[in-house]
This record gives sequence, C-alpha cells and structure tokens, in this order.
Amino acid sequence: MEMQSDPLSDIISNLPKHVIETILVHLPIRDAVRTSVLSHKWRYKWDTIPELVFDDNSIEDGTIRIDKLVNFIDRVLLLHRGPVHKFHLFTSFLNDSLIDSWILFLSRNGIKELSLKFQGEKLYKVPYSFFSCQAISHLNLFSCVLKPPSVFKGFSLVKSLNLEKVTLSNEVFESIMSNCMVLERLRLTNLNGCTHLKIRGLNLQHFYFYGEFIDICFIDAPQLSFVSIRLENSFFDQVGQGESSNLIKVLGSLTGLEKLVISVNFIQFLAIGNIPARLPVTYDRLKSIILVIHFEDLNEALVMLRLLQSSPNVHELVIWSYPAAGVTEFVEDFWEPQGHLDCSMNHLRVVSAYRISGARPELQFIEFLLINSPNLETLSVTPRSGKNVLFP
Amino acid sequence: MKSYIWLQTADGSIQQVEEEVAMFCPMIYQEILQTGMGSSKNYAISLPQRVNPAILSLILDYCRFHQVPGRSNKERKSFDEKFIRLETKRLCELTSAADSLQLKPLVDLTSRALARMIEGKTPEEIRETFHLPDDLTEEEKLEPLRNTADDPRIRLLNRLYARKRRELKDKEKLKNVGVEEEHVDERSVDDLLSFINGDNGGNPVSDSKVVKAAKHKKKNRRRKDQPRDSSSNNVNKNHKELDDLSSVRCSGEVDNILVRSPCETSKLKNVSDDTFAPKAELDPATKAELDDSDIDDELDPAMKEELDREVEDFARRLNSDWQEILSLGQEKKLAPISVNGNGSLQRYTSAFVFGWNADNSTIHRSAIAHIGNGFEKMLTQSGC
Repeated sequence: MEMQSDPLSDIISNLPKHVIETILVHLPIRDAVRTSVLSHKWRYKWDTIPELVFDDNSIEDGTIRIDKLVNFIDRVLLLHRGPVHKFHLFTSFLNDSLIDSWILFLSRNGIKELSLKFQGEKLYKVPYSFFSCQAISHLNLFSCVLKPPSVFKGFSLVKSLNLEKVTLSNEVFESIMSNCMVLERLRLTNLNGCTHLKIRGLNLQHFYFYGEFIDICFIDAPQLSFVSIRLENSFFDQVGQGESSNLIKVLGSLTGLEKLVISVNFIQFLAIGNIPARLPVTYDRLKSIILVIHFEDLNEALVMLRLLQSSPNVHELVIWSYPAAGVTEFVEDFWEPQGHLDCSMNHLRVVSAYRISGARPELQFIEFLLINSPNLETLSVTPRSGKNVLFP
Repeated sequence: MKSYIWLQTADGSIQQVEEEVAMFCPMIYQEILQTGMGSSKNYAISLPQRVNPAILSLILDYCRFHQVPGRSNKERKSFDEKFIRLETKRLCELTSAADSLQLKPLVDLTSRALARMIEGKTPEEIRETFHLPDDLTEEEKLEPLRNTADDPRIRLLNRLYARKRRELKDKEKLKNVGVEEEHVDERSVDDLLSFINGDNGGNPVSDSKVVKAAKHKKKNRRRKDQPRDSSSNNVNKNHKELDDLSSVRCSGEVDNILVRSPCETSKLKNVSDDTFAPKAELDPATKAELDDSDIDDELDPAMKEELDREVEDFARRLNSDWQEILSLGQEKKLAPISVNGNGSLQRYTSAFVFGWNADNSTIHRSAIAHIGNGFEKMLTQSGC
C-alpha cells in the first residue's frame, strides 16, 4: 500500500488558485467541501470559493432534515474565508433566525448574486441586514416579504431583479425602482401588495410580469426591448379610467420595443379608454408581437389594429384566440376585407394563429392578414382542440 | 497569402501557426499587438513555460475550430465534448497551459471536465485519479471535518477524536517524562515470565531501572523489526498488543490471567518465546542500544502506521462489530457503520484502537476485545 505518491505526477494540486476555484465551483458544494480530506495541499483549497449554492440535495442520504441542512450551511459559512460573491439557497425548509444570520454574514462579505427560494406556504421576512447588501447585482427572491427600514434607498448596483411570490408595498417597490440606474432585467411574478407599478430604468431592457395590478406605467425606459405582461384576472378598473387610452399610457413611450407579449387579460387592460385613430408613435424596432385576444371584442380588435398599423417592421405575429365572456362591445365584421383598414405589413413573414374556432371575426382577420402582407411566407392555423393550451 | 505567427515553446522548439488561429489566444494576441513579435522565426513569441509542444498542438486544434465564426452552438458543443476526452494528466496540463495563455473558454471547459472527475467519488478514488499523496497527518484526519452531515455517528466519532487527540498528547508527554510507566509494564511482564518459566518473583529492584529501560528499548526494537517481517506481521501484532495489554492490566494479577483460559497461556508462552527468550542476553545487547536514542522517536510514526494498517484490516473484517465496540463504551445505540465505503472512516477506526495503551477507559478495553477473540471473556470479567 503506497503511502507516498510521486509528487511529479500530482499536477492538479499545483494549478493556479483561480483555476482550482473554477473547478471547485463546478462541483456541488458537498463535493467541493470534501476535497479537504484529499491531501495536505487540498485541505484549505475549497474555503475561498466565491460561489456557494445550497439546496436540499446538498446533504447526503435520503432523509433530508432541516437541522442537517442548516448545520451544514452554518459550518460551511463559518469555515469559509474571503468574499462570497454568489449565494443560492433553494430549500423547502425555513428557519428564519438562522437564515437571518447568514444574510448578515453575506452582507459583510460582499455578496453580489443572491438567490433565496423557499418552497412552502410560509414566507420569509428578510432581515434588515439584507437591505445593506449594497453590492448586489443579481437578486432572485422567491416567497419572501420585503419590509425595509425607512432609510432604505434601493440597490444601486442591481442589474437583474427577479421577484416571485414576494410581498412588498408600492412604496418599497418605488424605492427600489427609483435607484436602480443599471437595472437591465426585471421579472415580477405574483407580487403581493403592489398595485400601482411604476417601472423605470434607463438601462432596462427586459420586463416580464405575471400577476395582478390596478395600474402600470413605464417611466424613462427608452431601452426596453422586451415586454411581456400577463394578468391573473381583470380586477383592474374597467370603468372610470378617464378618457385617456391605456394603450398610449402604457406602451406609448416604449419606442425601443423589439418583442411584445400581450398575454392573457392584458389586452383588456390596454383596451380601456379612448383608442385614438392613430398612435402617436411608431415602433420601428418591433419585430415580434404575441397577442392573446378575444376576437369578438371591438376595443381589443382596435388595439391590435393600432399596434399593427404602428409597427411597420413587424416580422412575426402570433395570435391566441379565446372566447369572449361578457365583452363590452360585440362586433362581427370588424375585419371585413372591404372595410378600408389602412395597414400594410410589408415585412410580415410568419404568422401563427392558435385556438381558432372558425368564427367569422377570426376568419376575416386571417383574410385581412393575407391581403395586407405581401411578403408573408408562413401562415399556420391551429384549431381549438378542447385541450388545455398554455398561453405565453 | 496566409500569414503565420511564429511561436516558441519553453523547450526551444519553434513552430509557425496560421495567424487567425494564434490570435484566438488572448495572450498571443496581446503579445503581437504590444511588442510586434511573432512575425518571423527569429522573433518568435515565447510561450509560457506551462505550454509544451504537445499541449500547444492540442490548444491550436481547439483554436482552429472555434475561431471559425460560422459554427453553430451545437457544433461547438459537440467538438468540445470530444476534445476533452483526454487522460487525466493531459487534462491537467491542458488546463494549466490554457490558463497561462488566458484562453478562458478552454479553461472553463477543462475545469468542468476535471470537476466531473471529482464529483461523487470517494477520497481514495480521487487520490488515485490524480495521484494525490495521502499525507494528512493523524491529527488532521482527526479534526471534525466539514464534509459530514450532522449525524449521531459522526458526533460520536468527533468525541472519539477528541479523546484520541488527548491521548496523543499524553503519549507525547509520556515520551518526554521518562520511562516510569514502562517500568511498571516491565515488571509485570517479568513476573509473568518468571511464573511461566518457574521462577518465583520479579527481578531485584535495585537493577530494575537500568534493566527495565533496556528491556523497554529492546521491546520497542523488536517492534521495529517486526514490521519488516511481513509474513508474520499479524502474529507479531497480536503479541505486541498482548504484551501491552498484560502490562496495563496485570500488575500483580498473574494468577488471574493464567486461570482464565488455557489459550491465553499459550499466547503468553509465545510471547515469551519471541520477545524474551534470550533473557540472559539482554543486558549486554541492550546496553549498546541505550546509546541509540533515536530509536524511540523514529518508532512512533512507523509503529502508528503499521498499527493503523493492521487495524484497518481488522476493522474491515469487523464491520458489524463497530456497534458493539461503541455500545460497550456506553455510547448510544447506532446503526451499523459501513467501514468499507469511506477510507476516512477506516482511519478513525485505526486511531481509535491505537490509543488503548495510555488510558484505562472502557472503550479501549472493548476495542481490545475485538482484536483477539480470546480476550473477550477476560475483559468482560475484569473489574479494572
């Protein structure tokens, strides 16, 4: 049994530190920590890795118990040296006080990418030390409650923000929004407590929303190229919105749009108010439009028409048709070919229509498309099958 | 007309490479831009030491493929997967060389491959793959390590480590303090032998100090000799352990030992034959050894290692006995611990048993019981 190995053949241990760290970072945290028993040189190689990812699989054996995972994370953090740039915790267990102390540790060690994802009914209330993590650039919170101290001025370095099942008030959201100069990517899903969204960001490029709001508007987001909004239900005010068109209010400033996804119920929101004869802006860069629409609704049809008229360069159009239930204004022949709807779509190449039931408005619309798109290459029509179809 | 860049590796050999391929390496690219070197054979760019010709050829293959802009992601991924199918040593060399040339995508690729070779493997397997020396000291292996989940078995082992650490410290002290305790050992063994050989008592006390010291050295020397004799290793170990066992327990209880069971007597007899037969010759022989003061210091690590290995073998065979050992020590009842799966666990076993000499605790007694089955009865009936 050889106790000594030829030192010349052990070349992995002498690789530069940053290379070893690259290797260790690609290992699950448990394997990375276990390298400390390999040999004398490997004893303390793992403890400076800048990324720590923990999930319920980080501890071995079948029975996952909260105290096991919690102990493991505790000890890893205690033994760790140097900055921690990335910390991910995905777990179905919640132990508020311990997680609080980990956040405090991270806030003192230069955390840049933080992901906290909890499964289960209970929400995690992030501690005050969370709001002092000023180096954060990527933030993913899942099932949390954000209640910052009044001195909180937002995360000035955050580039990517992803909140899901997060409870926060309008004011808190505003304070985050008003100070993120470098925010590029914003995803909001099932927020709680945030009813009036004011989205701003000089560098914002990507915005995704799924949930409910009463009102939304974009302020100073000239670079926004991707917008996708899906509403849980139509709790917003159907009436009493005044005369101004929501379509203009919401999308009027987004001239940089390249891809627009108007998903379930959002077109109803956009249809509220007086839809003008022509939109004041054109979306020159808009290439791809995905719409979920009730074909029988006049206002929704108008919204779609105005959008198409203002997007001369649209390349791809995807339509999901679904049955109206209690439409405001019913219309049959809106898309009638003889009706002079001035809309030339010279660049439209691909059209996909889903859940077509064969109703007149639908078929008229398809005819309308064919007439007005001289360069159309592909038109695919998928009939309503009765099965559950996933909306964008 | 294609343009070529001249590159020189650390061994002096020079080769020319298509410009666009060489420029794919940031380090070469910068070198060309900043110094203008590389345009002719005389002004070849000196590559970092970590890049030897064979590895350079691999790296250039990588660059040649990836610098072509039109390739799809699928093509690139497929190439990468085939490219890293190298033997371990090559892979490490490639990682090192790619890093010195600042070729980050290749460093990432090779790092991932190396990580895959580490993931999910046991420490032994990893050591074998990468030729790592198993050189953690006894002490370091005893420290509670981060790689274990909080598990009652592990907590128990941690407690045993702490105890073992204390014993090691005691052993150090013992070595320094002197041979007092060994005198006790000597005397009892002598009693035993006297009894067996038909003498009436121990040696005269007046000579005892010198003689005992000599005997101790002699005994240790025997131990040192024994590891070299691999064929009778097992047997010798048993006797060694038997020696110390008797010396710890049996001061003044010679009768009891012999009464217990006949097999023990025979074992003792063997001991006397091997170790102490030439009793009369001890004085002159060991007087010479007294001068050799290095023996003791040298012995301990070697002895430890031998014992470790020996006990590891035992531990492997005694997989199911773990539970007994531990429960005899009045610890909690535990699920059987697999001694085969994790090399580090075997180490704990060895350390655990080794410390039996310096402490009278129950656990150590029980451990000894499992070294030789015949001792079991003796120990359970002991009152010490």
